[in-house]
Amino acid sequence: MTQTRSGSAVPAKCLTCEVLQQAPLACSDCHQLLSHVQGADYFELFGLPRDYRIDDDALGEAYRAISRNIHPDHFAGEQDAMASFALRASAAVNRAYEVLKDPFRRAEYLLETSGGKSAAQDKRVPPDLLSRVMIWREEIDEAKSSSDEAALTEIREQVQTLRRQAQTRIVELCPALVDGGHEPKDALRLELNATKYLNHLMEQLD
Amino acid sequence: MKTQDPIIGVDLGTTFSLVAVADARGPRVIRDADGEARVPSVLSFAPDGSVSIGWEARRHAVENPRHTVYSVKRLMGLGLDDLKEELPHLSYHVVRGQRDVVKIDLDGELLTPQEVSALILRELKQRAEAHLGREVKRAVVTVPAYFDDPQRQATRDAGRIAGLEVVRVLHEPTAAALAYGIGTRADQETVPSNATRPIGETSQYEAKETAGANSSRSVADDSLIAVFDFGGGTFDVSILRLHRDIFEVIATKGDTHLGGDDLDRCIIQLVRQEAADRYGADMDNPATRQALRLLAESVKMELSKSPSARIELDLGGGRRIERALSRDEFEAMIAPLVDRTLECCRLALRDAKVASDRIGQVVLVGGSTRIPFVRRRVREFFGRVPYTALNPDEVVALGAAVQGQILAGARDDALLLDVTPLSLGIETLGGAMGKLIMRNTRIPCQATEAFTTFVDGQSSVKINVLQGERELAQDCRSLAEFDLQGIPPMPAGIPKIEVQFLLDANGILQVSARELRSGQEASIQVLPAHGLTREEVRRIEEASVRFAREDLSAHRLIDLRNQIEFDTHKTEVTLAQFGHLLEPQERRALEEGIRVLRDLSKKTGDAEKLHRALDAFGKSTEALANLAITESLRESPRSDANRSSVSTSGRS
Repeated sequence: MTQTRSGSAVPAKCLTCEVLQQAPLACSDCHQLLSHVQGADYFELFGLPRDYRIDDDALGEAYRAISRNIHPDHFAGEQDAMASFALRASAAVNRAYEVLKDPFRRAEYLLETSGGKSAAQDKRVPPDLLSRVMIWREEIDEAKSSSDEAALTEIREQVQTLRRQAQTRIVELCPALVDGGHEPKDALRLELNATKYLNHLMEQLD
Repeated sequence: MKTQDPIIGVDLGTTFSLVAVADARGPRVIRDADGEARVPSVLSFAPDGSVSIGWEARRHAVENPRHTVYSVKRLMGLGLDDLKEELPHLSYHVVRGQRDVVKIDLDGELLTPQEVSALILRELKQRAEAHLGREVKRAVVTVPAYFDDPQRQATRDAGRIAGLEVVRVLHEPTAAALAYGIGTRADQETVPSNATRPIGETSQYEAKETAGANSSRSVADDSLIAVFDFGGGTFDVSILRLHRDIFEVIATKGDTHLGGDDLDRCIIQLVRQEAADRYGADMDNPATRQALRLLAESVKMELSKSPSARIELDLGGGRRIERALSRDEFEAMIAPLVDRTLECCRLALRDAKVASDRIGQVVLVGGSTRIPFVRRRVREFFGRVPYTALNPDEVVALGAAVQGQILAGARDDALLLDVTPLSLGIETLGGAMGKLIMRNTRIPCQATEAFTTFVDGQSSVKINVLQGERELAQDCRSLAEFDLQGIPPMPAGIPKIEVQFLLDANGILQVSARELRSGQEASIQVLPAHGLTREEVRRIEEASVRFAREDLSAHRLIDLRNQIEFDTHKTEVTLAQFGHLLEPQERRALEEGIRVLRDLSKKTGDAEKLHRALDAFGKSTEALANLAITESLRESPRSDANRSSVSTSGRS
């Protein structure tokens, strides 16, 4: 996933009636859609600082405020071009929201839009992790086949502990992405790759 | 430009369908003279070509089992192979059409489930038109949230065939939530209590790990709603969060083959078993299938009111089955099915990352939620008494009408944000499912994927688009094969074709592609794995539009057309069998007559003209018919298998 950052500043002006906008997507006054939804920076889209630590409620509020203006339901009677634009803009906003809402995807987005490697480009994981994951997998299978709830709970706690540790390091690494060179980026990639394995394990445990 | 014509709300159900409209006074279902809003989703095709729909058709179910079509919703958008478990329960005959489309076989006349559903939709459209005193062209039609793309497409196609533009395919549980939400708006003004949560990088994980585990720190949140929708043929559960006037679906889960029909089958199975054990009776013929279905349904309904119901059945020849079925026995039989609905609830909550005791309101929708056992289990699962203020049969249609009003631009105080129930992906090398859009992603949504070529000069690429949660492509549903064509000749691996998958607000897939190096828009041939091609829908639609235009009596035209299909087919069959007994020119004249009549049937919307042509054709086939009768009598007569007569007692 590569994303070009848009250079536009917030607030923007409506292209039609020139009213200044809070959310730079659709004019709150004449409801014309603005054209640069696709390709906009996700944080910018919701008027949030480009930071891993975000205010969930502010994100939700901003998302709903934008949706209220651009959801295709409000353009059902419009001409095809406008309805189609609303559809695409809405899809782009939904995608941005899904990414920012999820801590893992949010960190990946920050990393990749800061020039870091994607999971496909760098598949390394912390030493020992793979062997531990494999042992856990066997233990999970065993505990499941013998319905050993206590064992499952224990594994769950172990995985969670490890995931929390990775989480703490992700929180620390994100601010260093801006001008920290390659080191924090590679380190973040490593933590994210590890988290991915741990998330899969948690799914298996459910 | 906002148009003013009304958008009706239609609940196209497995067992019942309803239509509702909404205006400044609010939404209301449209009732018949007896005050009944439900139209049984049953059609009876009489030998004279006439079609009855609804209560009338239901009454013919036993006497005309092979031509009474019910539960057609369970066939929508599916192939014959998907329906192995369904088929033994149908009294009508289905066959495989092109591309594995199911067709209902009415003595050789083949109808797709879309066309059958279109007849129900047309009936509802006419009901709405009579009520409103004006033409209706647009509708919101509800579908189970767990319907996949072909099932949604099929529903939309049915609308088109019925002369309705389906402006939105809406999820049934979401529609119900909308109906409830609009009614109880005043109570919802407070914002949920999680506003106090600190800026939280771990909030999501916390919630996830709380789910189902410990409940001590959870407090029910009134803005969190679970809609438990257990209908005639399908089950859905949706978890929503209500933010003042925005209905945000967080997760949905369901089973498109789990409903009242399946509960009935428990009773049917019991009766069949008893008949087999006691009399060695095989009750597996169309008439008994219909009769048992109606009997089981009435017994089930009785058991919702009384602790026990009687089953009385006359198998003929002095063989009778008489027994009582207690509510306890019934509950034990259906428990595994109810467990499946609760398992869906558990999975939906997990995906929503919400613990069951956080749910502030539980809404019951669908006729099967009238069963006391279902209510009890739902109450126990969520730890609260479910809402039943609105009629569970009517609430979905009401919500659809409200959504119609929103789409018509007549109200903007509510907005639905829904999700796609199933992950969408493509088949990757080695037959794996490569997910592009995860389940419970908000719609509309899009994903982009780049493809290239493997052979020098390769000009097309095939993409198999899948829906489902399984790891292997073969275990997921193939939606369609997309054939990207017109790729400029380049060495292998050089072209870069960017394909965009877009799920619109209906949860229906749109695909577009561009070759990036040449900038050319690639053309895409779509071959749906199930369902009708655009061209087929257009043809059927055109035929029906022609009818509508000269609409003195739409039914009369449909009936005539059906009759023509039926008669010409019959004549063809007879010709193949006995044509050699005719003079060559007589035979040719009849073949020409068939062709001309079919042609006319396609081209004209003039009922009188068709009627005269059909009459004339009938006369021209008399000689052949007489020949056929004479010849048949010469063959050894074969008596019809004894049909067991079944009485449907057990009603209150």
